[in-house]
Amino acid sequence: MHHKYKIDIWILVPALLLMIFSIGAVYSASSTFALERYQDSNYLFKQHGIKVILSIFTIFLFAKIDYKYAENISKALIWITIFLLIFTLFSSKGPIKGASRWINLGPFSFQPSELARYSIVIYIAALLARKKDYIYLLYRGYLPVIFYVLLVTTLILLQPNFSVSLIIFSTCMFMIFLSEAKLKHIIFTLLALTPIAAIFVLSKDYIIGRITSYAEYQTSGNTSYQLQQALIGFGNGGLLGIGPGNSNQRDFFLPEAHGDFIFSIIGEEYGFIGTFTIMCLYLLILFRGYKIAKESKDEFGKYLAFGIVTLISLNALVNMSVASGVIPTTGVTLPFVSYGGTSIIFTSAALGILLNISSQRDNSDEGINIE
Amino acid sequence: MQFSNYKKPDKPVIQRRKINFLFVILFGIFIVILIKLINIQIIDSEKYKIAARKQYENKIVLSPYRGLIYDRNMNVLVSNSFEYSFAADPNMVDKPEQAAELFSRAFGKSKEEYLSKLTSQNTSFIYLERRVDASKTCGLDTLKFNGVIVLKEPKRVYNYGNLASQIVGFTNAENKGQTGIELSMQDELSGKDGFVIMQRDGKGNNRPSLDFPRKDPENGNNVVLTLDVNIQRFAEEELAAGVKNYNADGGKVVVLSVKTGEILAMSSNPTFDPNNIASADTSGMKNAVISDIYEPGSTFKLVTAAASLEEKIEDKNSVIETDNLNEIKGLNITDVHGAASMTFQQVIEQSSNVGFSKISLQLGSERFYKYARDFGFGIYNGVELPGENKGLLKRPVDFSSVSLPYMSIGYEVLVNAMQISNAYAAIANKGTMMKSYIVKKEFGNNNNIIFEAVPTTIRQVVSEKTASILTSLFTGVVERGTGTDAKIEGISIAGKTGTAQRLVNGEYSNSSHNSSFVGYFPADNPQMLITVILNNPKSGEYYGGKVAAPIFKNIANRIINFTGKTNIASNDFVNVNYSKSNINVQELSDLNDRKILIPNLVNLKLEDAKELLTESNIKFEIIDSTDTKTNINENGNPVITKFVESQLPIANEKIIWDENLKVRIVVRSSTVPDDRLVIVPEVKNLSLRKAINLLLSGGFDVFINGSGKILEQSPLPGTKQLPGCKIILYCKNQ
Repeated sequence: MHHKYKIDIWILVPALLLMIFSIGAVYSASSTFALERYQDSNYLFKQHGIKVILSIFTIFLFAKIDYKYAENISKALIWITIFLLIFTLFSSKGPIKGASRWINLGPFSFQPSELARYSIVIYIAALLARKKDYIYLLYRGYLPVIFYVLLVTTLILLQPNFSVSLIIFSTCMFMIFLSEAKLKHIIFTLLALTPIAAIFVLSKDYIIGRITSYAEYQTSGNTSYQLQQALIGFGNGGLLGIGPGNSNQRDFFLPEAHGDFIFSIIGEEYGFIGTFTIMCLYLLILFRGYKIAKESKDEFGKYLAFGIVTLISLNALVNMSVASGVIPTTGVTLPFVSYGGTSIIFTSAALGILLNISSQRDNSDEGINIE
Repeated sequence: MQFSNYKKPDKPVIQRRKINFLFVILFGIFIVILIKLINIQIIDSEKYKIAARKQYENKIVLSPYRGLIYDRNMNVLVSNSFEYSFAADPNMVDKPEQAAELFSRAFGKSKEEYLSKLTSQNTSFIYLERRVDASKTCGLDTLKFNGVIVLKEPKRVYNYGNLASQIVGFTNAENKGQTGIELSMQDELSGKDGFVIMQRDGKGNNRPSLDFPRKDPENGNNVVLTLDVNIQRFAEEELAAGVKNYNADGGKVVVLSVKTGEILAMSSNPTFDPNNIASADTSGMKNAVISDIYEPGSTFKLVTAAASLEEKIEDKNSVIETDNLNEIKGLNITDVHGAASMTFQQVIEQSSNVGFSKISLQLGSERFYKYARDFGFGIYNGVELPGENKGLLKRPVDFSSVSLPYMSIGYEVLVNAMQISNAYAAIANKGTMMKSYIVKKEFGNNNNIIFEAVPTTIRQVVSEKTASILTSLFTGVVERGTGTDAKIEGISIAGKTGTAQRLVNGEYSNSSHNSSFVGYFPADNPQMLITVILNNPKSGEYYGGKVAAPIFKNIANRIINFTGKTNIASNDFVNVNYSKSNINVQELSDLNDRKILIPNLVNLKLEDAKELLTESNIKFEIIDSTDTKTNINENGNPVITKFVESQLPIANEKIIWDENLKVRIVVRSSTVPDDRLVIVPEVKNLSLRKAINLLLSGGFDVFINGSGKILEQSPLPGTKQLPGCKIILYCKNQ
């Protein structure tokens, strides 16, 4: 097999471009904040730079590991994840944004939800592959799968992290839709969950607030401060942008400029040309990723590739939609680009797995040999 | 119909179709975002660019100093201080509750009032408190609230309070002149605003930027008035006493230098305190001397007398029959003390209405009108003060059959007190009318003289001979006529009384009068003219000779005593004693009048206090026991600014000026309000030249240690410093 070990450069290159681009974008977006917080405008840039280097290493590492190992460890992984999610809920009342999302391990801190989004995708892929012949059966096939989906999404919802929970849920439902599960099971699940989700939303003031604010923006143009600042960033950039490193919005106008709203800073500095290029890179990853899923030689690889690509794409789409005011504000990072701690490393690991799948598919001639 | 050709697709094909289907959904979301971005970044871009510029660019207006106003002896009538205003940018306010609470506690208004302002919509600037005395800010000016803006605003200080307040005027909240010299000299006093455009960040901090220009303010010019504060004070005090004694509604007084036309004092009663406009009585604000018009009565007989002498209709000894007035029907003019006939001199001394009426009939309308106009009635005087009313002088074509005799004794004509004063001043000045003026000099900040008034002749109204005859006749008025109450031992005074019935509800009242006296002295070489008018004295006495003449006498007495000279006739009184170049102010002034007002310095920033004192020519001594090295504010920045903790002498105390007078200032240090601070930019990666330019544009001083590449900078980038702070760049060649 080794002589045929070729990965899809049309996935690898866009991802690397995004990451390299993110180094500059994070530097620009975080410098003012870092200067005030740490008296060093390079502080977050350095942190991010280290993570990007680690991430590139991670991509190539996981690209070399046969993705079928993932199937073997998927059950253990999902239970570790579930344990960590429960542990987070009960242990720390985290200081970040009032949500208990973080686990501190000495110098490392990471969000179990970052791990969760990939371990559930791996496990669902494994389940769907294993149950491929009887997934249409409700009790043996469908229900055990949906059980894990709901368990993980509920635990994340309780943190509370509505948007990540919704993205994971959507990804899993996309994967189940891909299998031979009965459409009526899926539709019934969605119908049953709608009122529950509605009750949850109505019970959370902050979500209501964001939705009200969004509705007001759609009708009258008045909007929340953060979205208004994001829009000013995009608009001030215009077609060509005001130039790399020239952002004004990062100077405390746009909260979370280097995190969830970095897309606006890119729009400000690089203009529509910049935002359009970024979107094209994600679209390329989506297109090539689905192609890998179609061409994967086994069921597990097919579901896994599809799940990973869907997850990354939904993240990107939700982030860009939020920043440009298409949907209500919610905290989701822009994959490979946002400054966001562990997120970029997990995403890179997933991308590595995707590349490994690409190297083992039926039609893997059009790739590069990394051996 | 047969479906025999239809074959159910196999599983991989269905899966591929499902993937394609999902791809199309996600692609659709991409398109939605793309359309949205095209809208924001291309179609609506301009709108957002404007919004962006509005929030980044912070144009800081650099206020110029408003010019000072001096009296003729360079006593500072009006100087400057500072006040604080508080405003909010509701978009930036993050702790409205807390801020409202503190403002409510400091200023005693309800918390809700501030809260509603702090959270108001659709504005980025709303005043919370306007013009708070620096000592009454309760430290709020040093507190930092996001979105709360502290403004240091210049404030006018009227050092003499009510004195000359109608002349000087006052400014509004924008420090713009509203009345008096403050209004008429607004352009000269105000100077020109400068500005600096700072780049602002989302927290309201200023960041220096190379891209924007800076323009320094041009300070206003200073104005020297012809007024003399001492004479002004005598005039105002005596007028006020007279108004009180004779129970009048008010009064007017003018003191003129007859040879030059300079206005030495001018006031109307009541007055107002320009330091306290909010509670001032607005009726005191108008300068009634030029804005009030009235029927002058007997003082207007000057025109009739002068014209008849000049036209040689009468001479000093002509005999005029004053028993009755039969010439014209409908005329109701009588004399208080009737006589069959009088000499011209007696007609004037006794102010005979019948006599003057008869003279006017001989004179005729045209000639009468010509002289009245030549004396300046019915036309603007053009003194540099707002609100002048030129009165009303009918043209002969508009005269009725009784107009001429009535006008000859001061009815059917409206004048202002300045016009009356000018007319008499012309006679005092040998028949030559001088243009009266109140602005003596305007000088810039380098003491460069921009404008200096010179006495201007308007016209020779009557010949010198006529003028001297009139002066000797008016001397008789004071010696033995209607104006004997104005007599001062040792000085000959020329004067004329006037008592006019006031029009009340369209009829001349027997109980309401304007009582006036115009006099000048010394009669043999007139220097100074004083006009006194009382409105509606109700104490029983109402003749000008009985109520206005004593006030004249008191004012004249105090002026003469003040100079310490009994025989002022021997010198060119006004121009020698009151010209600054020739006299020592100290020697001239009695000590009581050389008090200066100590400005309030407490809670001013030290540099502001120094500025104020320097401006007022007061020396100072600073007692500073603060140790800047140990004072660190909550941001870890060293405290750079000092405030005045206390002062000695205390504020608003009037202190006798002395060369050695020093104000002692005790200093405290305090956190600097962040809006004055500028963030030190990071220059490490810039070329030295660019770094220096950037730092200089932020108002910093740059000190370079070594040469080559910048390795370190101190203070650290990101810290906030006051402009003017020295930034050291450590450089090394690599």
